[in-house]
Amino acid sequence: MSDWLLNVLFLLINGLVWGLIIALISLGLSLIFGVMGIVNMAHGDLYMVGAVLGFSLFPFLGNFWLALLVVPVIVALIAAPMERFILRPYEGYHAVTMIATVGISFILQQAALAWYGGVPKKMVDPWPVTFHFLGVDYAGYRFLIAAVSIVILAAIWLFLYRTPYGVLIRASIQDRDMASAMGIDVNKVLIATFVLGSVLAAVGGVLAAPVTQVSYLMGNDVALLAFIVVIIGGLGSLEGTLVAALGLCSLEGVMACILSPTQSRAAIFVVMVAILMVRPRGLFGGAER
Amino acid sequence: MALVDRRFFALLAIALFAVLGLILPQGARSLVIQMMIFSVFAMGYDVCLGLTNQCSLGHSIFFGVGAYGAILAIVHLKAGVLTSLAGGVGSGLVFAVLVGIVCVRLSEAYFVIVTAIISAVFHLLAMDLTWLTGGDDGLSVSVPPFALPGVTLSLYQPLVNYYFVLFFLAAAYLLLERIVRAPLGKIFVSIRENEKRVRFLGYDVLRYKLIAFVLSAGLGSLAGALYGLTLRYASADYFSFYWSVLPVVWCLVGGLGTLAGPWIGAVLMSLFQYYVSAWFTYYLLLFGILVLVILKVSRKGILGYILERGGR
Amino acid sequence: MTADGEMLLEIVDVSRRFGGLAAVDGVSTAVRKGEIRGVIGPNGAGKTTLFNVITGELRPSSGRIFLKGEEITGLPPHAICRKGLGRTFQLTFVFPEMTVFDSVWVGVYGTMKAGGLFFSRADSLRGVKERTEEICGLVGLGERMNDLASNLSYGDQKVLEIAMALSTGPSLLLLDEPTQGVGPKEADTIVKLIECLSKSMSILLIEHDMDIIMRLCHNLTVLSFGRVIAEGSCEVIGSNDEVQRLYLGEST
Repeated sequence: MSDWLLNVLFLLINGLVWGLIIALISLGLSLIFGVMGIVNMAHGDLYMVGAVLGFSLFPFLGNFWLALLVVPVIVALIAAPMERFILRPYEGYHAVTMIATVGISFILQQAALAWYGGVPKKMVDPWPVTFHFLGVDYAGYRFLIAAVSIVILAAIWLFLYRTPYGVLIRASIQDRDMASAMGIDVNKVLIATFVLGSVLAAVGGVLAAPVTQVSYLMGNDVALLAFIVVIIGGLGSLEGTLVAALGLCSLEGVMACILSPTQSRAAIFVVMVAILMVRPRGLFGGAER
Repeated sequence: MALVDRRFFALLAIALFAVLGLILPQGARSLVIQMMIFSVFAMGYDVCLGLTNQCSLGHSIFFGVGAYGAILAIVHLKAGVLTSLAGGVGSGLVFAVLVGIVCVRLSEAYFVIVTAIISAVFHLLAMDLTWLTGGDDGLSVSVPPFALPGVTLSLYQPLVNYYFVLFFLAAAYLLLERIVRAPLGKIFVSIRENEKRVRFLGYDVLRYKLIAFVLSAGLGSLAGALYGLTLRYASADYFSFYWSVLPVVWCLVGGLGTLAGPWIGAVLMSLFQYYVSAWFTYYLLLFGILVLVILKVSRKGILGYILERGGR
Repeated sequence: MTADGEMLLEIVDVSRRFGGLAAVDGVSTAVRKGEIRGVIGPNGAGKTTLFNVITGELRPSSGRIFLKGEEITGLPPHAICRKGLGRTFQLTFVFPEMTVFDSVWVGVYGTMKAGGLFFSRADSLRGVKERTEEICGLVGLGERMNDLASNLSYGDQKVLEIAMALSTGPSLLLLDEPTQGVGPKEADTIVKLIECLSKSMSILLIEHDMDIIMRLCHNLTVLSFGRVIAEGSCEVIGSNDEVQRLYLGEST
C-alpha cells in the first residue's frame, strides 16, 4: 500500500478512536438534553474534571483501571448535588438553567486552575505498547480507548434498551408529562440522567487524558465539538449522536492531512450549517410540522 | 409620564452620565466610559432576549466584528473616526443577517447552541488568522482626529471620548425607545409572550425575529466599534465566549425587557470586575458564583423589580 | 340565518397520520358561507387535530383543503390566516403580559397594513385604534381594555381568545370549545356573541355541550376515530342511531 494511503488510514483510525470518546461525551450531553431539556454549558468542564482527576489520581492509585472506576464515583458525587440544588429549582425555565450551567462552568474552570495550575501537562501512557499494523506503528493505548469506549457504549445501550430503568429514561425523553402521569418518579430520573450524562463526560476525560494535553481549558474545545455532534445528530437522539460523532471525527481526522486543525474545524462547522438549513432539527431530530 | 417609568430612569441615567463626565477624575471617567459602552451592548441584547425571547449566546461575534470593522478600517482604509464607526456597525449588520438567517428558524435550544457554536468558530478563526486580526495579541491603532462643523476633535482628549460615547448611548436609546413605541415594539412583545399565537394572527414570525436579532446585533457591533475606538485596540479575545455571556448577565441583573435596566447590570458588573479582579486572581470564580446568586434572587432583575412595585 | 351560500371551506379526503396512527382519516366536508357548522364527537375523535390541519399548524398527510376556492393545503399558519381564517384555542392561548387592547391591536394592525412599522407611534394609528376598540366593545371587554390578559378571569380570557381571532377580520372562524370551563352565565354570553358573529362570518364550532350545539348550529359533522361517521342538519343527526350509540356509550 502506498505511503499516502497508509497515512490516511492511520488518520482515519485515530479519528474513529477519538470519535468514540466524543461519542461518550456527546451521548451524555444528548441524554441530559433529551430528558431534562437542559443545554448544559458545563458539560465540557465535567470532561475536563474527569481528565484532571484521572491525571492526579493515576500516580496515586498506580493503576489506570482503578482511576477509571474511582473518577466516575467522585464526579457522580459532584454532579448529583449540582442537579438537586442548582439546576432543579429552575425546572422549566430553560434559559435560566442554561445560564446557571454557565456559572457552574466558570466555577469548575477556575477551581481547576487554582488546584491544578494553568500549565497543560501530558499524562503518562498507561499502556506503552506498540503494535505493528500494515507497516505502521500504532499505540496500544488507543486500542484500549476504543475497547473501553465500545464496552461502555454497549453497556449504555443495554441499560437504555433492556433494563426497566432504561425504559423509564427513554420514556421521559419521549414525553415527560406522560411519564410523570404514569407514576414514574421524575425527580429520580432527572438526577439519574444528569449523573449518568456527567459521568460519561468524565470517563471520556479519563480516557482522553493520556492522548491529549490536560489543562483547565480543555473542556472548551471538546464542548464545542460535542455540541456540533449533538446538533448534527439531533438533540435527544442517541443513534444520531453516535453516527454524527464517529462520522465527524473521522472526517476531521482525515482532513488533518490537508487542512490545518482550525480549517478542519471550520469545515465541520460548514457541514453543520448546511445540514441545519435543510433539517433544522438535525439528521435524526424530531419531525417538523 | 408616570414617575415610575422606565423612560424616567433612562433619561435620569443619561443626565447623570452627562454630569459625571465633568466632575469625575480621569481613572473613574475611563471606567464610566466602559460602563456606557457596555450599556449599549446590554440594551441591544435586551432586544433579543428581553423583547423577543431569543437567548443568543453568540453576541460576541458582533462585538468583535464591530471592533475589528472599525480598527481595520483605520488600518487598511485610513478611515476617519466616524467612517470607521460606520464600518464597524455595517460589518456587524452584514454578519447579523447571515447568522440570523441560519439561526432564527431554529427552536429555542438549538438557537442557543448554534449561536454559541458560531461564536466559538469566529473566535477560533480570529485567533488563527493572525495576519488579519493580530490573534490574541491584537491590533493597536492610532485614531485620527475628526472634524465637526466648526471644530476639530480628537478621541485622545478624555472628555471628547467620554461625550462621544455618551452621545451614541443616548442616540441608541432614543432610537430603541421609538421602535418599542412603534407597532414593531408591540409585535416583538407579542412574539415573546406567545410566539405560536402570533403566527395565527397573520404574521410571518421568522421575519420579525430576524429584525429583532439584526437590530440587537447592530447595537452589539456599535458597542464593539466604540470599544475598539476607545481602547484604540482590538483582539481576538473580543470574540470569546465571555463576551457572549456578559450581556446575558447584564440583562438578567438589570431587568429584562426594560431597555434601561440592563444599564444597571452593566454598571454593577463593571464595578464588580474592576474592584474584585484587583485583589482576587480567580475573579471569574466569584463571577460564576455571582451568576448563580443573581439567578436565585430574582429572575426579573433590579429594574424589573422596581417597576413591578411602582406600577408601569 | 340560512346556510345556503357559496362554498367557503372545502376539505377533500384529508388525513393526518402520526406514525401508524391516523388522527384524522379521510375527512371530506364543506362549509358554506353563512353557515354555523358544529363538529362533534367523543374525546380523541380528531376534532382539534382537524382544526390544526385546516389552520396550517399541521401539514395533512394526504388530501387537499380549499378556502374561498383557493387551495391552502400545506401553507403556513400566517398565510392561511391572511386568507381569512381565524381560530381560537382550546386552552386559553393569550399574551399574558399584554393588555387586552394590545392583544387585539396586534391582529388588527397586521391585517390593516397601516404602515409605520418602525417609527410611527403605535397608539396614534387612529384606524387601527378604532377598529381595536370596536372589537373589544363587541365582545364585551370594552371596560377592561387596559387590563393585563393574565389578570382576567378565565371566562374573560375565553372571550379575549375570540376577540383575538376576530382581530384579523376572518371570513371563517374556527372556535375550539369556546365555553369549556366557564359558568352558565358566561357560557350564555359567549353563545349570544357567537350568534351575533354569525351574521357576518361563517363559523366552525367544536363543542361538547349539546344544548349549545343545537341552539347555534345549522349542521353537524360527527367525528369518531378520525373519520366522519355522520353529517347533516341537527334534526337528522339527533335521530341518527350510530351517533346515539356513540354518545350513550360515552360519558361526555
